[in-house]
Amino acid sequence: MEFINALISLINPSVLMFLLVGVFLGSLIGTLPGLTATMGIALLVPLTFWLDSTSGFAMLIGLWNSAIWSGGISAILINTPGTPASIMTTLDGYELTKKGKARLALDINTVGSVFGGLFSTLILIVFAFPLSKITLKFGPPEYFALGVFGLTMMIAIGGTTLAKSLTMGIAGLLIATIGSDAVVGAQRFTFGNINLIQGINFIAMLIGALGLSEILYQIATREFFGNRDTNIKFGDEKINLSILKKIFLPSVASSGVGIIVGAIPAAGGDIASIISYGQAKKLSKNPQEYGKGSLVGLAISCVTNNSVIGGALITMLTLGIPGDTVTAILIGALISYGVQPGAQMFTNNAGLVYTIMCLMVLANIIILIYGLLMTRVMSKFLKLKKEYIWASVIVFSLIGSYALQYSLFDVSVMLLFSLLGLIAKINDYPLGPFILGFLLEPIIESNFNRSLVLSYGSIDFLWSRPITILFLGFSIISVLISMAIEVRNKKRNIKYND
Amino acid sequence: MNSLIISIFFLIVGCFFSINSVPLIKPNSSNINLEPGVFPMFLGILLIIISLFIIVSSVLQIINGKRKGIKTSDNNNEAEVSSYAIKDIIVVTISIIIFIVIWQLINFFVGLVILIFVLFKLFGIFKLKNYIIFAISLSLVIYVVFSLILKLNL
Repeated sequence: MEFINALISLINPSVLMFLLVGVFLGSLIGTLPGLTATMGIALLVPLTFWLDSTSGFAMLIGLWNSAIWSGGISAILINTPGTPASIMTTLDGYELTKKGKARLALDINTVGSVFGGLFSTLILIVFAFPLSKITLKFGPPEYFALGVFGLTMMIAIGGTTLAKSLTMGIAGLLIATIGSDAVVGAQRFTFGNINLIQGINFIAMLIGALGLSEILYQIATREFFGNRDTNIKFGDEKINLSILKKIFLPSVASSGVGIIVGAIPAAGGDIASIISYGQAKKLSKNPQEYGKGSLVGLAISCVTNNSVIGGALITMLTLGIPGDTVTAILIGALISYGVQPGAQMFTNNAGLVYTIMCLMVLANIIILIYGLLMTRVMSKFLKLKKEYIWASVIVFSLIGSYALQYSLFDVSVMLLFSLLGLIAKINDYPLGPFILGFLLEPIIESNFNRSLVLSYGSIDFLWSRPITILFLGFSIISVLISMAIEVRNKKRNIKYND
Repeated sequence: MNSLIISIFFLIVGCFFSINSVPLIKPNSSNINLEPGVFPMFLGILLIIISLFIIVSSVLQIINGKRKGIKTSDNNNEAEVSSYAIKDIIVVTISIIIFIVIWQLINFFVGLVILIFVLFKLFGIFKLKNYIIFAISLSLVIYVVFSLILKLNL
């Protein structure tokens, strides 16, 4: 019944309109190098609070899928990935453009991305509900361990050095302690400021740290959007049935890789496409073709990027912990809508879960039509001057943070975190662990407290429950592996310098 | 060098949270729950330890670099940001603050037009025609989206 209600809600013209707006904005953000899906979603989230949750999520899902897909357009046309997830698309995509086959490459990007998106949505539909039944059995100790696991994964993967990632993760956790304590309601670090009673506004902080700080960084470094030569020979060759047959099986395999990597906290589209592309090249009968305009190589990178979305949604919806910064923002949005993501959502708000699944399918269908018809027109986006985009993002960051609750305090928070984000970025301090730390602090602290109460003040729960041991074990292993890799790299560098 | 300064900043943050957690911990509490100050204090101490580790590593790196005559920089981005870029960031930040003041005292759109003027001048792309077209277009988009569609008071 809830599934039918979800379908009916999608027939609403306003939902379709917001989905289209999301897809269009995503295509603009994705095509322009320097603007990322994370930044776009961070800027868009405050606007969705003025809409109903279905329309709001329609816009966000549309933007996310579209930005990841269109990140491949600039990768193919000007050899500069529009979003980090498209890094591997440059290898074969740009080679095809140089050979005068840009149109074919763009078609493969569209079809591959949509395939990845739909395949991962299918897996989401099939596995999310059974998984939620398992996670429904999780108690506070398991959720505590899961929170620690999510954060340590981000710390282990997310930065250049473990110490810097750890610093940012702990800083995020600490900033989140400002405000009312979740257990007894005590005021912490508010110093009598009523604006701090509810804590630092997550979305305002995100707009600053992920949106405005990126623009300030580009202004500071005068970062250009790569080669802006848009005199491209598109060619007449289009995607056809024989090409589809050739790329089908590798696409299924790379979708699997994308979904698994996407479901792992902290591992995003860039990591997934690097793994997927590398494995496909190793297993290929013609590895020498990769990087020289291989259609299979291009398809693999495009499919993997978008299949990561379904994987990340599985983690977000069933466990309530973010797989990456985009899902961190979406969790923030869900909480603002009054919905707590996680297993409870499948019983209390099953309608919204179905709606998100249906929106994923619909967004990909729209991208397929829009992509096959409009990519040549979209290449004109590349002619936009970066300075106009900088000015627009600055203005929208200000309005977005103000729109949250008509508060200039939120604007100040946004501005402060944009400057802190800029300093962090310049000095290679990763923002991912900071954002995740901020979001996971309530989960970690409150579940640790609940676990203590359940075990009458003993910390036995840390080693007496198998799932808790498993997650905490993974956390320790991930940090140890990251440490070992760092030590090895340092030794290599010393050897090389000597 | 920058890593050293940032680590000192984080060291201060760690100390700040640790010290201010003390009043939140009742020493003789019989509560099974953790006191509200325990978690931030633990994190603060952890931050202090890691910051000290980075400070010591950075100092050793600088000393070793000086001994070998190598300029030490442990990241790729540090060198790209010049002093004039820092000036640009300060100008953008001050412009934003002035914009907020004008927004609150006079009108959002008046502040917006002035902010765009300053940004265009700063970015070196000011041409009167382009400026007018951009300022009007952006104002119109914001008015339609925020004021008409979302009914937001700016």
